Amino acid sequence: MSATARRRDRDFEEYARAGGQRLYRTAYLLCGDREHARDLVQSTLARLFQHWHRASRAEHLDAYARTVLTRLFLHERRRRLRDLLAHARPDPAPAAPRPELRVTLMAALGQLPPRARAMVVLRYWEDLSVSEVAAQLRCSESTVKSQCSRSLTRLRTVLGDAHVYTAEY
Amino acid sequence: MHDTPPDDTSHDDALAGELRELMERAAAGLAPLPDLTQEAVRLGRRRRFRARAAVVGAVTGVLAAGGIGSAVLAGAGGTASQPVTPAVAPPPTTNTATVPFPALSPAPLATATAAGVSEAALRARTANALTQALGDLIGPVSPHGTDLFAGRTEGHVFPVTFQVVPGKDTLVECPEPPGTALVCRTAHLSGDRIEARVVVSGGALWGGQSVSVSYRYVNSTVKLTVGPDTDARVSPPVTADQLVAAAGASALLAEVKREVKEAVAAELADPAADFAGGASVAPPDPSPNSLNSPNSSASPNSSVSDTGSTNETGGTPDE
Repeated sequence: MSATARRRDRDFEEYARAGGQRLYRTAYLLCGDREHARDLVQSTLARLFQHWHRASRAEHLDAYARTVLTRLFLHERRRRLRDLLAHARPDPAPAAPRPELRVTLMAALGQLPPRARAMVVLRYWEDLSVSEVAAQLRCSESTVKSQCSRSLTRLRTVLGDAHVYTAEY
Repeated sequence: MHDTPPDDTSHDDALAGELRELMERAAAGLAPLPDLTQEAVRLGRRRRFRARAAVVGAVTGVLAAGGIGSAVLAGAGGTASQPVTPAVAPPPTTNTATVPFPALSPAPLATATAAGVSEAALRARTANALTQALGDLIGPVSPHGTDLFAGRTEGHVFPVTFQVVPGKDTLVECPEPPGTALVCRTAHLSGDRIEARVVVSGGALWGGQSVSVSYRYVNSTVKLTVGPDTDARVSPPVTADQLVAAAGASALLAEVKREVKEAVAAELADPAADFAGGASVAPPDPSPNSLNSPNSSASPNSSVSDTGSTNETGGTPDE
């Protein structure tokens, strides 16, 4: 391996160790599962490494990595949705009412469709502007505005006035 | 938050603030991420190698097809001593974006030939193993589409997916909400040595049932699914136990072992050395325009694809 390649690898490793935790948090909010979030981050880092000679030239590598992460999440959700549509029983029996069930943020987020959830996380956790979210998810700004507003309303309905826990469900 | 959109109401702003705080709390409760760097490097190297090998292999195929075409033309209208030249020379191009790798040197060409041949051979070999394992149930299995297989029997076509995914990918999941799967349980293959998950789900509305089994083998995850003939709305004539038995059949287990072994061999090959100086294949484009703000979106269009699939060649997530 050439000295240049070794240096490139070292740069990647430094970035991965420094930025992994932030990606992990975003991934967790996107998918709601720690193990899956870890897998998402690992896949994201693998793709960054694959294209590191280009990615490292990005002026804002964090934005680049976040875009890879978000699209990877949406891609996997689409794949899972296809599996679900192929596997799900048409009329699932309603879940037994569980009044003791604690409402959690992650459960509430989990009720949003993946794309809407990604918009909420990018908009309110990553603090991106409407136009940035729209560019990242390749949709119009009005779509982002309406989806975010609708999602907030839905979250309010789900969370209600109940005590909100942030534990993993 | 910046750039508040004009139609965000103050109510939304208040809720957004509350939501942000909740998300902060939820994320803060996460344990530190273990160091994934080495594994990411390993996976990234493998992806890089495969993507390059696949493209070089494809071009080799084109070159080979061109050679065959020339030979045919020579046989039809020329003599062996007369080289066949095109009537019109192709226009020169300066668009390097359409040429994703440098001129072929002998070494990569040899690798590419092997990769190009192995892709077709791999599919045929896998189809053969699937036929041995499932042929009695769904008929002979052959490659179907770009990455599927299909068994054909009694006029029905049953799609089959068979993947050996490097790394600890998730096993086939029980559909949510719980209880919607017809079957979702643990099974054992190969004399109880391998623990697997078997799932039967679906129904008339979905065009029939699907049967899936997945398990971990060495450092890979194996997934085998037989789907319904959705056009005819017929479920595959395969029960959960039968699929488990098929997955544990010696032919299919041998195929799994071969694929895992090949993946390890590919991993050991150092792509940086093999392709030193070569450009990558359709990498993401972090153009300055798209990345000139800390929060701007990048354009890694080609940077993500199915995790570690044996068929992956670096497609886009939206494909």
